[in-house]
Amino acid sequence: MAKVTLKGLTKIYGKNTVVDHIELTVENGTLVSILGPSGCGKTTTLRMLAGFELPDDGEVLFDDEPVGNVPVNKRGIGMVFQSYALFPHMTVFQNVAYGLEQRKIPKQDIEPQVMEALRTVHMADFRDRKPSQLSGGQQQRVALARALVIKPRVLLLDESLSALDKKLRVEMQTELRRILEETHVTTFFVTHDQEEAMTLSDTIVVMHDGKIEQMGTPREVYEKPKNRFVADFLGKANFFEGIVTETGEGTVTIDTGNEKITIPADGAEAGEKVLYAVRPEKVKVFEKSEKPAGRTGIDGSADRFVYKGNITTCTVDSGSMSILSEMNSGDERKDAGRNAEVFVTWEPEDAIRLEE
Amino acid sequence: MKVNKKSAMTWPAMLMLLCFTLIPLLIMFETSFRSDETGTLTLENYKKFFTNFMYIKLTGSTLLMSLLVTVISLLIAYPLAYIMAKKLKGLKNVILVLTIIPFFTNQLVRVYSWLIFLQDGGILNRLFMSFGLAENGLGILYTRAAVVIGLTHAFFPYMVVTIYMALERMDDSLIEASMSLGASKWTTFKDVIFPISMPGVMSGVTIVFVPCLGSFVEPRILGGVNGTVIGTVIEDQFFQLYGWNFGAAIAFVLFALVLIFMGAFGALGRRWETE
Repeated sequence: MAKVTLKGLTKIYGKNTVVDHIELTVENGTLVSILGPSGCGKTTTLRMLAGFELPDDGEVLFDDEPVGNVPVNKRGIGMVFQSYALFPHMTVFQNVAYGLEQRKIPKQDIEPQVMEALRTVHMADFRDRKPSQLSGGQQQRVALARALVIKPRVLLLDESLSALDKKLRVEMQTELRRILEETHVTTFFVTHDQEEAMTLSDTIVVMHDGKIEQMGTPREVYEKPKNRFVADFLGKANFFEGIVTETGEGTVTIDTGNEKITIPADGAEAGEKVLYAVRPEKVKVFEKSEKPAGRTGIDGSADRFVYKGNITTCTVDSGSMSILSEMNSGDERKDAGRNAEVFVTWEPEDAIRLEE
Repeated sequence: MKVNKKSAMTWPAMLMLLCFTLIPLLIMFETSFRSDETGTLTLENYKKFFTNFMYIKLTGSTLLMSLLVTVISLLIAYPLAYIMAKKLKGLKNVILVLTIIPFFTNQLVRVYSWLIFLQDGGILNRLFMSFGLAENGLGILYTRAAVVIGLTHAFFPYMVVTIYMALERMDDSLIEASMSLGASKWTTFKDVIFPISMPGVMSGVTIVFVPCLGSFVEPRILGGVNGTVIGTVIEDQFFQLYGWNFGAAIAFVLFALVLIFMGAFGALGRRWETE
C-alpha cells in the first residue's frame, strides 16, 4: 500500500505525445479511476505505473521513492489485465499461488494464503479448475485474487470489466468495490465507462489527449465539470456559448452569433465570453399552456417523448438549437404528443459555467 | 438427407486414400509375411530382423541420430520462433521466408549443395583452413555429423513454424502477468512461455523426428559408408537386393516404432493442453 505520485510523467511514441506531463498525487488506500476515450493515454499511464513502459520524461514515485529503476517484477504491483491473463496451463490454485512462489514464501504458508484470497472472491470451490472451465466473471475473480494475494503496494486494473456483459459487469463493480474497501490497497482503475468510474472510485481522473482534464470525486466531476470535454464525456450536456450582452436576476442573455437568447444562469458579466452546460435531467419541460409566469426559458417544439424505462427523454427544437431533457419516468406528466409547443427551463444554479 | 450430400464431398479424398495409401500398405503388409523362397506365409522376415544384432543396433543408432537432429532443431527453432513471434514482429515475414526456403528447394539440390559445401576443398573447409583452424580440412563429409547437418537443415523449418504458431497464439499479457507477479524473465520463460508453447513444440518434435527415422537420401549422399541407417537398409532391400519381403518387414517395424513415438509425443503434448 502506497501513496503514488506522478511527476511530469510523459510518454512519446514517434511524434505523438501520448502522455503529456501528468502531475498526480494519490493518497494511500485511494481508489482512482483514470477515465477517458480510447487513445487518451490512460492505458499508457497505467503501463508506466506498472513498469511495462519507461517514461520519456518525469517519474513515478511510490511513497515518495522514485521507482524508475525498479523493474516490473520488483515493483510490488498487482495487475488485473483486460484479458485477465490467467495462465491457461495452471489450475486456479496454481495461478493464485504463482506470485507467492516467486516471493519464496514457504510452501506450508502458501496454501492458507491462496485459499483466503480465493474465499474473498468467492472462488474457493473452484481451486482445481483450469481457467478454460470458468466463465468470464469467474476468471475475473481469480485474476483479482491472484493480484491481491501478493499484497501489492499498488493495484492496477486495466479495463478489467469491459469484457463482461452488462449485468455481470454491474455485479462485479459492486463486488470489486467491496473487496477493494476490505483490502484498502491504493488502486488505479483504467476505464472508458463513466458509469463504472462513478461506481468504483473515490477519485476520478479524466484524461484527454494525454493530459488530465479534471480530477475530483465522482460528484465534483459530474456536477462541476471544468470544461466542455469533461461535461460532454461524463454524461450528457446542453451547451450554451457566446458573448454576454445583458445580465438580470438569475438570467443571462447571450449572443450566440446567430441570435440572442436569455437563459436561467448566474455568474457572468456583460461583455464576457461564456460557455454554460446544463445537464438534461435539470431541464424541465412545460406545455405552452402551463408555462409558469415570470420564468425565463426557451420556447420550442418537442419532437416526442421517448420512454426509456427509468427515464423519459425529449428533444426540444427551439428553431436554432436543440435541447435535450431527461425526466424521471415516475413523475406524473401528460404526454404532450408529437411536435407539441413547449417551454423549457431550469434553475439558474443548474447552468454550469465552464472554462473554454 | 443433407448429411449424406455433404459427406459425398469427402469421397474423392477417401478414394485417393484407399487406392494409394491403404491398399498399397495392406499389400506391403502381406508381402512382409511372405517367404522369399517359397512365397508362403511366414514370420521368417521378422525373425531375421529381430535375431540379427546388426539390425537392432542400426535401429538404435538411427533412433539416436533422429533424436540428435530433433534436439538440435529444437535448439535452433525455438529461439528463432520466439524472436519472430514476440521480439521482431516487424521482421517476422522476412525471417519466415528465409526459414522456409529449404521447403521450396528440391531435396537433391539441397543435399548436393551440402555435399559441395562440406567436402574437402569446399567452402567450409577452405574457411577453416584459411584461419588455421583445421590443417588438413575438417573431414566432415561422409560422417554422421554431415548427415545430422543435412537432416537438421531439411526439417527444422517445420519446427520453427509449429512453435511460431503456438507462441503467436499466446497472449502477450500472460508474460506481463508473470512479471507483475514477481517472476524473473527466466522463470517466466520456464514456467509460463515454454509450457504454453508445449503443444507446438511437441508437434514440431513429431514432425522432425518421424521423417528422420525413415530418411535415406541425406544419410546415403552425405554419410557415405558412415551413413547406413534403417532407411538405407530398406532402400537397399527394395532397389539393390530385391528382397522385398524382408524390406517390407523392416519397413513395418519402423512403422510400428513411428506409431509408438507419435503416440508418446502426442500424450506428452496433451499433458500440457489447456482444456
